[in-house]
Amino acid sequence: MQTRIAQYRKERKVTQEELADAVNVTRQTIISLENGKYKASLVLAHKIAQFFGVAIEEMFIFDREDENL
Amino acid sequence: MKIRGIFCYTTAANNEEYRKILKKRNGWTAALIAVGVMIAAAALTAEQSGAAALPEYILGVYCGFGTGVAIAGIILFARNMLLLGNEEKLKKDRLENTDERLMEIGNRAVRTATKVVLLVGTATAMICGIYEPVLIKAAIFTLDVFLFAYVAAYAYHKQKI
Repeated sequence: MQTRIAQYRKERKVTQEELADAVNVTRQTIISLENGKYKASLVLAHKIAQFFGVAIEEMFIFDREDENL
Repeated sequence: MKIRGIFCYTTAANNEEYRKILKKRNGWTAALIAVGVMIAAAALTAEQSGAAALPEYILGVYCGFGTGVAIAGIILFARNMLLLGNEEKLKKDRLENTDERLMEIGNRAVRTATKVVLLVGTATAMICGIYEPVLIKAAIFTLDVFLFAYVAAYAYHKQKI
């Protein structure tokens, strides 16, 4: 799943380590989310979206074709 | 590559909760050390007294197993004590043990390992069972325990989720 985490992080000048600390995950998980290798759980998606003060659908790009919809 | 233990994952939300979990785990670790020491001591005593009906090499296996369990327990205990005394390391360990991606990796690894164990175990028992029939009995017992545990756990978690 594609995300805008890296974009928002760079705009707000937040490091991967700081974001990871804020949402209680490891830095490697943030890297995997940014690369689209890992799909966040609903709870983690909420935490990340809340950290940047945006809606989940703004942060995580839901591709209907990818999900066979 | 750092590999997390199969049973290390927790849901601790902060260091305080994780500290309590580690203290509880240390209780279990102490019990593990005691069990290891008891197994090794019993095997050693039986070997030296010559009273046991088991072959000497089997007693050696028991002794080695007990010693291994005790040593592993001591290392785990010391590691947990080290973590409890260092806030930064405690936080790092907590994040690694509560991280949902690492949990998912662990779950997938367990699924793969389970498939391998079931396949290799069954194949080994079927082939080696020709020469040693007790192996087939052991394999059937293990498979039955696995299936029973799976069905029971499935029913339990179905109620929970």
